[in-house]
Amino acid sequence: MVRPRRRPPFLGTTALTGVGYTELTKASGRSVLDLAAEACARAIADAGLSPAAVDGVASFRFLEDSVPAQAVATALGVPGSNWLLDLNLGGQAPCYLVTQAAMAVHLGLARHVVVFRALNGRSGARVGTNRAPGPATDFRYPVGLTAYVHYISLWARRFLVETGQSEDDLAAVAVAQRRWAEQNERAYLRAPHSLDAHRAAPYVAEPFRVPDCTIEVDGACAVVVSALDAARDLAQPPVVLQGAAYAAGAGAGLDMGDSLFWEDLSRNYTSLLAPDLWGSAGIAPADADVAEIYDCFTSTVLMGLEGLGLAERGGAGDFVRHGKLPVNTHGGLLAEGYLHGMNTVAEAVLQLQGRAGTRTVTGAETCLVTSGALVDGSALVLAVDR
Amino acid sequence: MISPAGDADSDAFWSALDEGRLLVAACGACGKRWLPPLATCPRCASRDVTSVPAAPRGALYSWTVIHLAADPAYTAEVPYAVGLVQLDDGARLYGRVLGVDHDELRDGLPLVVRIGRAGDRPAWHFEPEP
Repeated sequence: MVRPRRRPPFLGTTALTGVGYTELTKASGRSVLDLAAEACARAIADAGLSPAAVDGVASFRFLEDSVPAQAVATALGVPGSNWLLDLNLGGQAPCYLVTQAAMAVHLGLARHVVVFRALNGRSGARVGTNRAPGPATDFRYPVGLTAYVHYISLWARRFLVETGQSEDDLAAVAVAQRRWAEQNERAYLRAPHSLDAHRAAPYVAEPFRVPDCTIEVDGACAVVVSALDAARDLAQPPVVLQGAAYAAGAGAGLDMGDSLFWEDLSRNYTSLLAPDLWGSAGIAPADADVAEIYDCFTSTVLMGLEGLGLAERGGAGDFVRHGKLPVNTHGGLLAEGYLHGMNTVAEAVLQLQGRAGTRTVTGAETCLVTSGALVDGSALVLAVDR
Repeated sequence: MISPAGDADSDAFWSALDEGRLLVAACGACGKRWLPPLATCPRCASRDVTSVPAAPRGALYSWTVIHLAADPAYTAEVPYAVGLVQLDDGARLYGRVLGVDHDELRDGLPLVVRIGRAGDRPAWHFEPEP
């Protein structure tokens, strides 16, 4: 049971002001710090700032696969930091970190915070097969559940059973997102995809086939968070935080892959945070013009659409198939690449700034973003400055 | 076979398994049964926690058939089925599902717990009711 709360005061008063990426590759040949520093420097410059104006850095890493915020502050020659934050988290982190950074700038603890995720996620430590310490892995590894795709496939199967949907509904997500990716020169996978191609692809862990899974890459992505009044003087139109929520349900487990304490594997955190998210933003699900939904696997998009009230229970596959809403306009983690959801946030910023090239959704004023797949996660409602 | 690392909360579970017995954690206050073992009850926070024999039967709650093992220890075994089984005592447990065609795995399939061997040590798996 997640308790409802009043609207937090950093909403409507803080904004995302810049985004930065590195190239996404199979083998960067570079240090994770180098990647992080490049993405952060690009985001800071994109906002029209210099590193000297930044006094906060925040990031997350999973089992020490990345570098701490202090390292990036050092590499960029930030003259002094008032606020650093490192979280040991996974895909639930990006929106959550942006929220924490917004709180810091709203409270005056920092003026401009750069939030990043960097990883050699293909050539180095791969998130999906890193083994978390602790007793819960003892109940997965010895029976042959040795990767994240294995654990989450059990959620996907239960979701399909409970909602009466099929593997073709999962495929619809991959097909729709690849259509967006064809228009995204940053995307790692840009070739067209089809239902027939999907059905012919090899299984990884049923019901997931290869194109149901994110494409792991090396790279980094960063965004800048600023107070709204300061943001109005910067280089890009501010993208305002209008709604924010985080939720972890009862029985969230002992580690990031543990689902033995979670009662209903057909529902994830999205159904828990939906009332808080939409309530904090003061809008209804139908008011969202674009949705960027965390998609380490196709099933999380369907679960998110239903959990957030955008599609009815059991109807997410049709919702995607009929293109009811632009969803994951960068191609998602499925096609752009696995920057662990930080690029999901960045795409929302580009959309609302009208800077997503031919992908730009004309007239979009409100964008939903989520971070996370299973027992916990975070989400934002972002809006143009009016 | 990847061996468990164990810890102070779960060592009793693994020791019993080495003797061929499957235990679950049990709350003396509210009756909940669960795994992995914890020192506190995850429903009522009681510390009146003991280990009791697991229910011998359960039903398939979810399942996957793994075609890409990720860990080289299991590469030779693909494709293999892993179930998430709800035991009749309420505890849930992952385990290999043996003796069922993979396309006959279904919601609620009745299963029994068996203690067999994986490599050089005892391990549990699930089979259809005889």
